[in-house]
Amino acid sequence: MATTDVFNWPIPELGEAPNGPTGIQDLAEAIEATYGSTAYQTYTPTLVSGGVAFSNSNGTNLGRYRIWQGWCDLVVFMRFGSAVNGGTGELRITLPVPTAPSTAITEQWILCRLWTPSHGHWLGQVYCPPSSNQGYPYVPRGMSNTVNSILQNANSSGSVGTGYPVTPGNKTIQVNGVFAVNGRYRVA
Amino acid sequence: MGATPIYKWPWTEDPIVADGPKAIGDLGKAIDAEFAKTDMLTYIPEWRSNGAYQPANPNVLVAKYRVANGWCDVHIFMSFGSAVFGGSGWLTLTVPVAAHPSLDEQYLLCKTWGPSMGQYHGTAYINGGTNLLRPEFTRSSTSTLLDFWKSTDDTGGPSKGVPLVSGGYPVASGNNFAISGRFKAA
Repeated sequence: MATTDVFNWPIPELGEAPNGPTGIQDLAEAIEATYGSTAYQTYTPTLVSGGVAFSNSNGTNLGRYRIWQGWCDLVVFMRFGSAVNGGTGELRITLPVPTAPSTAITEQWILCRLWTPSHGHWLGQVYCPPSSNQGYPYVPRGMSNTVNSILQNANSSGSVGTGYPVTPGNKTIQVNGVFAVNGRYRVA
Repeated sequence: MGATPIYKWPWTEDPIVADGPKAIGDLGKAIDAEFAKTDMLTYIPEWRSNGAYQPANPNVLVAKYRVANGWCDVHIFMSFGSAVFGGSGWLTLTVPVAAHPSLDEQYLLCKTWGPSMGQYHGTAYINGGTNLLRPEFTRSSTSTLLDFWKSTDDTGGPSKGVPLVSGGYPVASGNNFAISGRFKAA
């Protein structure tokens, strides 16, 4: 039995036993299984820092995605555990490795949200650069500063109140805090 | 005539009718029609609050959705006329299918606008395994922090909403609200 190039759907070949109906049924069901699939892939997202490394060894790090017809649908949910270390410097979120944002589009942006138990919720956007498997989460600089900067737990000093968003008296990545991403970007 | 289990695409069964090209043609047309579908379904979201008074009487409430391949695309638009009542407490809306249980939270984009209030953007999150959307907006024009959308608290007074409208309510005649997004369904 031969198969199609991309999805490996079965197609009859000359020389096989004559059974046209079964051949057509097999092809139809294979196409249907591909088209109707609700399958998704999992990966373990993390934040990559520009300074001291980020780690969330006993927290939640869930990534779910589906690549289909040139798009990647992505959902990330991270809850920071008691052993979290937010590191220093700008933080980037890892994207699914099998494929990267399209080189045909200069900038693609998807939604993110940060919860800091000490100060509250922030809405942000993740910049997904072409060909890169790391996205840049932009968040407001502070509670009353609407200018956005890249998410940061603390600057190179490692001191409290030096991250983005600024959380006075605290670092930005906190125990029980949440960082989540939802979106869809072009990959082809 | 047999049919595939999900979309009921036709395929011939034994004893085969001697018209193979037509059978293949029928199958091809059925697949073609399925792939080309652009239809959206309509539903009526439930607009509720967790306060003592429930919201009611939006002038327009339109919701469209499509579930395909395990994902739900959903769009909700509401506009408010003179009869609207914003209720009290945190406001929620329902989506037609539950969110995937393995993800604690998923987020959609939302916005609200009013001629005197201006435009605010926010998020609406869905907890895993539920169909309840919880919109959040920045607390005021000078805050970047998000809080749950509400018209007022149980006192019913003005200047208690999110986003804050000084001397008024964010759910008021002339204002509107919208959500657009895509989430992993159960």
